[in-house]
Amino acid sequence: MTRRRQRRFRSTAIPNLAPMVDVVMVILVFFMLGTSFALSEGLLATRLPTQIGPGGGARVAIVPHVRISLVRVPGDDRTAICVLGLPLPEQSFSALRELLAEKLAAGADPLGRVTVSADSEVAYADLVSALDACAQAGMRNVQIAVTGGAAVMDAAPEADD
Amino acid sequence: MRRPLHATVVDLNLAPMVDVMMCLLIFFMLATKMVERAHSAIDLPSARAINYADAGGRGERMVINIRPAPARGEDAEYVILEKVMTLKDVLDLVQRRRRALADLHCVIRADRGLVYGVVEPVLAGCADVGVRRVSFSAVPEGDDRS
Repeated sequence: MTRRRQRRFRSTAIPNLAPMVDVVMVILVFFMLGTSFALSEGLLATRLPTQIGPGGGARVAIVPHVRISLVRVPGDDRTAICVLGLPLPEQSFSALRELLAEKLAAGADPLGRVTVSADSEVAYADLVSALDACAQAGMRNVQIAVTGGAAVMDAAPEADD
Repeated sequence: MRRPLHATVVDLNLAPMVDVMMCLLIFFMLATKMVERAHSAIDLPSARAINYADAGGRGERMVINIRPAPARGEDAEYVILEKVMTLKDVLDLVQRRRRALADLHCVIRADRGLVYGVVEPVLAGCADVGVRRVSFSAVPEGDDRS
């Protein structure tokens, strides 16, 4: 009899999870929104030339399919766009994109090397626009021409903190 | 009075839902923290052909922020994980990371108002230590958020 009574009055405690779910949902939504804001930017992928750096001297330099140069026009705020050393007839990045798209339509390899070089005075946004034009045209192997890094490092001024 | 035979009490089992939500919560908490630490507030240039797949942080990558520094009397300042560094320190760090990881991916987040001259030494330093994968952060055209 005593055992039966004990069994009858044994209670099982079940925690109420509903308030916890409410709170966790609010926090979850907050972090989801915060993360999506931070990831609203994308990347333009490029590669650096293999002629520089460890083992670079052993590599054979191949003439690139397309060389794009961004040159700062003296006395002017604009950037001149040159392809294979010749200035574009229409100085705009949409014209550059169309030119590259025409080359691809004419049978150029989308994996063919495109080298972009720029003067130090050229606006960084123009370099990104040039890379963007290459990517929009469908060029997949875009490289940025840089000179040897060691010399640049030696010449870099020491900033005082 | 007899109880109805088919009276059932529907008790929703919230435990699996809580498990999943906790996992999601921890994931987003960590992701948000990483993004906050790596990304400074920078007015990025805009582009159309940006790749969002790489922006998610696939593989080992190093984010180098470059922003104007008029107060410091210099053209730009270099920021990694919210720490302002000199160019030499940045390149030393790139070199150390490159030694540890062969396929290091450097992400340049530079302000749209800068000149290429402040970005070029970073690229040159990367090339010098053998970093080949370099990407430039940009916002989609028409969306000028940093």
